[in-house]
Amino acid sequence: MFRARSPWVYFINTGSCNGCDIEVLAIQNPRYSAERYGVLRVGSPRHADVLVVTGPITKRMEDRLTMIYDQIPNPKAVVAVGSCPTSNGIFDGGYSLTGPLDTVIPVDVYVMGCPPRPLNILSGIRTAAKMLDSKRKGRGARPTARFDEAMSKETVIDPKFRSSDNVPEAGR
Amino acid sequence: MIASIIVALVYAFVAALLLQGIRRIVVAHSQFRKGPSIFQTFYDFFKLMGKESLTPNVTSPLLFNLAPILSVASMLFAALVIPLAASTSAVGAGDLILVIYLLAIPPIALILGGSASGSPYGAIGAAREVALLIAYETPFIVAMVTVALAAGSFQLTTISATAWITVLPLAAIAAIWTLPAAAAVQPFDIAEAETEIVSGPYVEYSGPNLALLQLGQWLKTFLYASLIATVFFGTTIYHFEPVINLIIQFAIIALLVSAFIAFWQATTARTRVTRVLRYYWTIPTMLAVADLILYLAGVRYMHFLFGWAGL
Amino acid sequence: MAEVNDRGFAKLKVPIGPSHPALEEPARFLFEVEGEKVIDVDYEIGYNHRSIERLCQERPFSKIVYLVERICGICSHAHPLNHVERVEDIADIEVPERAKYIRTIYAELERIHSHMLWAGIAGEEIGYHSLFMYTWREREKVMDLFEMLSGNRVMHGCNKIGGVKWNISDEQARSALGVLSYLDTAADKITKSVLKDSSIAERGKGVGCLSKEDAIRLGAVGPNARASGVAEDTRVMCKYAAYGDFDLEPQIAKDGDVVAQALVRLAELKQSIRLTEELIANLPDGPIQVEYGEIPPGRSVGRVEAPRGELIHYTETNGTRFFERIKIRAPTLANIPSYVPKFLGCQVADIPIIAASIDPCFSCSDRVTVIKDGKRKIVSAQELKTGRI
Ligand code: SF4
Repeated sequence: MFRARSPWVYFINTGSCNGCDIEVLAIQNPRYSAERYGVLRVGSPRHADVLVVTGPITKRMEDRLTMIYDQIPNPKAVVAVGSCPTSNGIFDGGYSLTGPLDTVIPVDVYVMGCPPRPLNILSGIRTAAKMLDSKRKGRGARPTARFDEAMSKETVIDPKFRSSDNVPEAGR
Repeated sequence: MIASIIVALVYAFVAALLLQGIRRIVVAHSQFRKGPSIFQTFYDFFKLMGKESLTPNVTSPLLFNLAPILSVASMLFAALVIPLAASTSAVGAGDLILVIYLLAIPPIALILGGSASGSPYGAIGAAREVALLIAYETPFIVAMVTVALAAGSFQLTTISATAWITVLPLAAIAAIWTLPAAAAVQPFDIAEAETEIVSGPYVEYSGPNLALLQLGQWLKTFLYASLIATVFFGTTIYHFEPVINLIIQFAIIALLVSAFIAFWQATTARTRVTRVLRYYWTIPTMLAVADLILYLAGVRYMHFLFGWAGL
Repeated sequence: MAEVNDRGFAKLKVPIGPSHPALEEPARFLFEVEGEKVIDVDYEIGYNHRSIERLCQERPFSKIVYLVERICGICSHAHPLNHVERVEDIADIEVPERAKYIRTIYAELERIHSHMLWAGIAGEEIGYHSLFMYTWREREKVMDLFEMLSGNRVMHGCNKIGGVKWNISDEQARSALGVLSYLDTAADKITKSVLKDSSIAERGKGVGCLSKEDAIRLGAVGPNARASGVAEDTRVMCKYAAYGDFDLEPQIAKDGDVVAQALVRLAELKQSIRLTEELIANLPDGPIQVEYGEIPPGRSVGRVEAPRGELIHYTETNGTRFFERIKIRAPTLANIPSYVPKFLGCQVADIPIIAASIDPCFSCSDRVTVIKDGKRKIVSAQELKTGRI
């Protein structure tokens, strides 16, 4: 019951056009005032409960995304904001994209729109927060890279490499 | 005895968390928005306690996991030493010195934890925390020593028999001035500056460890404010029923926190680490030292100014 | 972990990004710091590359306007505006006056919202949340205005080849004027707080300086260049859309530091508010779009002043339903080299605000750098066309 009331959000942009980003940022402003629901934007994935992803997944961001997903302690939930992570949106067919978010990491809530309105994003985050309680407290084999290590690694793109195969089973 | 210890600990815990809720609400309202619930810190704390705790490949796992416990344990001990309205001091003579030392432990735990994480963000955060600690402890200690000399004792129960703000107002101003830095909120959140170094020493902590580390910081804010309240406003006002005493003391502390910490937080940008020393080693230190010298020289200016009012 | 130099300072490598609270978008900076001082910086972009230019060649004309609109959500008008102007240039389509004015109104409103957004983000970067909260509260008014005019907050979908889609009614124009006069006072308040507040001066004065020579040498554009005293504004030079009918002065500042950047943007904010009021007052009557026929083969290149600076589109058609080539040079790409003189010698605490000072928009500007097995590889045009990388 505490989880639903204090979702801390880590926000990652995986190649979005900024339209969704500014709407995600806008939920903090006085009109939408996300803090009244305890929604807080945190700077380190270790502190987060909810991962908010905007943008189609570009090849170079894909492994960063899975790394960050792994760094979030259980229980965790993922919110896909916008048409882009949901279905690649307008960029579908681009050579530098690895496809919708749910082929990379498990997604719990989809917020549709291009971009969705801030209130929809806020309600998506709250829906995800309510799901946290029912999540299994799994403890998979997880990489233990530090945040800075994950960030300073060179990206290696191998066409055969799909890190979605390596995703530890998340509490779904 | 045991009952009073438990009461003191529970009071400190609840009050420390409520204080953060009040601070967040005050800040939110000064930014034209509706703040979180006053119990938000409780939700955050218990949520973090229920999360998984990860230890990444840090340089020193032992130190890394020890730091949060150290931080909270020292603060719980300090809660017993400071005469809160609910209890009297558990230690006798010289407890002021003990408290001042204990209050420095949460930052030191943060420094240890930050360096033990092996992350460059943690390292920079730890270095900044050191600078901050040195900066605000100086005027604070000078102010406290001035009071102790004036009271002729380092024992808190003796000191708090007088409301020292009426005798040594300059020292009181200096001590209150250090509140925002001790609370590590803006403009002095340099050690965890989110946009600069992610969250500094906290960056690798998760779940219960993070909760404890933050609890240490929250308890410290509360105890720091309550030490200032005890020393400068005295305990003579608490002669009612225990519950009412508690409420009065909490009200004074909450007022201090919302007036000085939240207000500063809402109206300033984060400072730079190089400026922190200048913030604290100029005016606040000078005020405290001036009061010390004036006192030693035997100048009772408050008496001189307000003597007719019978102070 | 860290080497220690002869002065006893540890040298640390601090990665900022690709995902970092100071950067709204993925880009990676690798700083080498000594104590609190930055001694070296390396940057890497390309995390955001979405293969838009190639998608532009694969889809028919009618869909490209939507696609270029989604290059950047903040300049969601500047990109399609430039795009449709290029196509109109190739096909010699005469756009009605009213459509030109409406396009300009959107472009100026976009500048207002973008500069307010920047002021808020800059406040956030120096840890001044109240500034963020205040500017973003006022910015909501602009978003409401957009929603009233086009039905959408971010993606306005206003441009089409041969005109605009949404007309502006008298009633809308009246309420827009009301909002603009409100924004005018808000802009004054923000300017006052930037000028007066001592903590902003402490964090911004002399931080991230870019000299005029450096700005010219490194090809800086937009407010970034104007803050260093380069009086260049594409709106004044190219007189596209309806800008020819109005007198505009490029807003410049001398110092090139963060405060100068802020002042230039705030002056432009005021200028844009006044310009929009004039535009709405002088809105000509007439149709808002014209029919157009076949689009002949041809090529065109043109510049538009996006909120972040000069935006160049090159468009080539080949007489079919598809474009032969679209090439986009976003302002941020031109501004990125000016990071180097700004960052060198700065403090760690200044990194976020300097990074924000050029108002970066990596989603506009990302290129392909493919790294295979840790080695960088430049992709040839042929490979790009066939998509085999
Ligand atoms: S969903 Fe639309 S607004 Fe959001 S990132 Fe994708 S294109 Fe941009």
